[in-house]
Amino acid sequence: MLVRDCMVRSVATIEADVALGGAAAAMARHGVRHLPVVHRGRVVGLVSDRELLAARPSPATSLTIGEIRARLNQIPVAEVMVRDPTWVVPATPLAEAARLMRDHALEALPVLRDGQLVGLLTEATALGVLATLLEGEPGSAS
Amino acid sequence: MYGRILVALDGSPPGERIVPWVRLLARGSGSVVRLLTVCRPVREPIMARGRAVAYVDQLEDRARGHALAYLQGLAARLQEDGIPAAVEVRFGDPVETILTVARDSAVDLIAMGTRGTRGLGRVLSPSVTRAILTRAPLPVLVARLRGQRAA
Amino acid sequence: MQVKTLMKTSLVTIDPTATLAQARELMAAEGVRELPVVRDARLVGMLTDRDMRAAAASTLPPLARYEHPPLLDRMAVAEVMTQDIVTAGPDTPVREAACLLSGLGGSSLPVVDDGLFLGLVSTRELLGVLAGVLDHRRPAGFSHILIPIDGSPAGADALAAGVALARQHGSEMTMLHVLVPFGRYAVAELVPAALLTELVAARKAGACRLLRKEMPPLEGLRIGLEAVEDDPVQGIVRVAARIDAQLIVMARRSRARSLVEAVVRAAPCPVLLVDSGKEPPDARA
Repeated sequence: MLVRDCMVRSVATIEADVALGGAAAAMARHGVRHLPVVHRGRVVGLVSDRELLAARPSPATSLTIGEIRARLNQIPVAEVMVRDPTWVVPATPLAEAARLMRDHALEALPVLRDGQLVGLLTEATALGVLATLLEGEPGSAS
Repeated sequence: MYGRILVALDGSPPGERIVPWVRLLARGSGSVVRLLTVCRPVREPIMARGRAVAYVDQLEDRARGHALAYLQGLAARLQEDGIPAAVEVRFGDPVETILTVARDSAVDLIAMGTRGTRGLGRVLSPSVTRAILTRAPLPVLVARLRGQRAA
Repeated sequence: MQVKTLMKTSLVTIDPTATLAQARELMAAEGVRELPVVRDARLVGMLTDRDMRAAAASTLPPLARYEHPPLLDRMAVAEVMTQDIVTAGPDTPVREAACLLSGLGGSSLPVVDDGLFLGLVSTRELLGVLAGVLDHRRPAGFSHILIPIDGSPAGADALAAGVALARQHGSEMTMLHVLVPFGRYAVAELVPAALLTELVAARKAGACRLLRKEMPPLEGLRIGLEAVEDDPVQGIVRVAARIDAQLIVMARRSRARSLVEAVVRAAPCPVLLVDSGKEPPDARA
């Protein structure tokens, strides 16, 4: 099984200059926690809800909600994203992609073909594949 | 087909990305693998205030220790996958050492990565890869390491 | 396989009364992103990296200056941890654990027995299981091998090596011939447009004839033939990407060394360089 057999193909992405508020909205809109960040058609980073949570102030901030929103809207996603993320190609064996995610604690892997984003492989997807593969295994019925 | 494979590693995580491909090749071909790191020879002791605080042999031992631990971790994972793997650490010129070990261990294939021209001057520089490609009297498996993760 | 065989048991846990500062230090020291919150050997919650980030001060200077890190750091773990957590029992099948984590989006599933904390099953262990199951199911091997052919004897050696590998690994094979784009030739300007298409087609047909001549006996191999017009290096690289090749096999020849090097640098997959028996390796470094 290769990455291309189970990657998500229509991937929501975000432009590097979009503000953090926009990134959060995009994640909510698409129901995802990871967004590849693109600039001039190329993947330049990966942003997840972890980076957004780190950027958001704590509940104890002395800023008002309005002030928080205003400031978050001035900060582009490029400032908090993980730069130059690890990526794989569609032909990467899924086993190797799984090892890569495991060994480097990666939650999502952009899939590039010829430098273009063609998919995204997430931990959730990989675990779903595992659940399917283990079906029908002796003793797997709960 | 390639019963004995020599994998030249430089100890860096990108350098490790050749290993999954070696695993793929080795499992399909029933190969045994030898993992090799070539460390730069230590030329001088570390001096502080005019006195040597670490000598060449101590520094080399330390470097060998780190490199061995790293390679053994990789070897263990290969062995878990049913691939016999041995490790070796040497000091010297990378190209000469790799070719010598390849000859002495009678390997059928050398596997290594190559990085772009931006680098830290580590052992697996493009010039090392180029030299191995030209001089090794046996097949070479090369994987581009920058940006090509686990292929 | 059940969760009890996979879970990690000798784990660092944290007390609900510990401070966030202590929690942060512990996570950093252990290199983990989640801490089971345990009191009297019972699991009372999970403190995740995301919980910490949500509660912690902003990492961005324009926002951070309105925070009070000392106050935040003294908050107790109990105020921030997630209490309503899904757990597994020691006999829960691994399949179910994988399902749960896939749907919940967390990275660890605590394992409890009657409320007593036993251990954690994390995505890390499950990804390892996935890799093992996949390796086991299908004999590992390159799925698709690309072999550029130029009609030379050295190319034939690469083909022989590629075919041997393809047989051994059960791989699909593509033989590729890259033509210099006809438009590059000065004489192309003299050719009427109507004839140009025919000419290009004729060249490709000729290339396919060449490939068919070089083709090995099939004997169960799946072989595709491709003839493209392109730059010599990009032609190989682009086809490799398009067909999702996992390996390119080429002959290493001193004359074409720059081509080989360029392909290695640009290829989306590893390149196997084989000896050509016809030309000895260059002794110069």
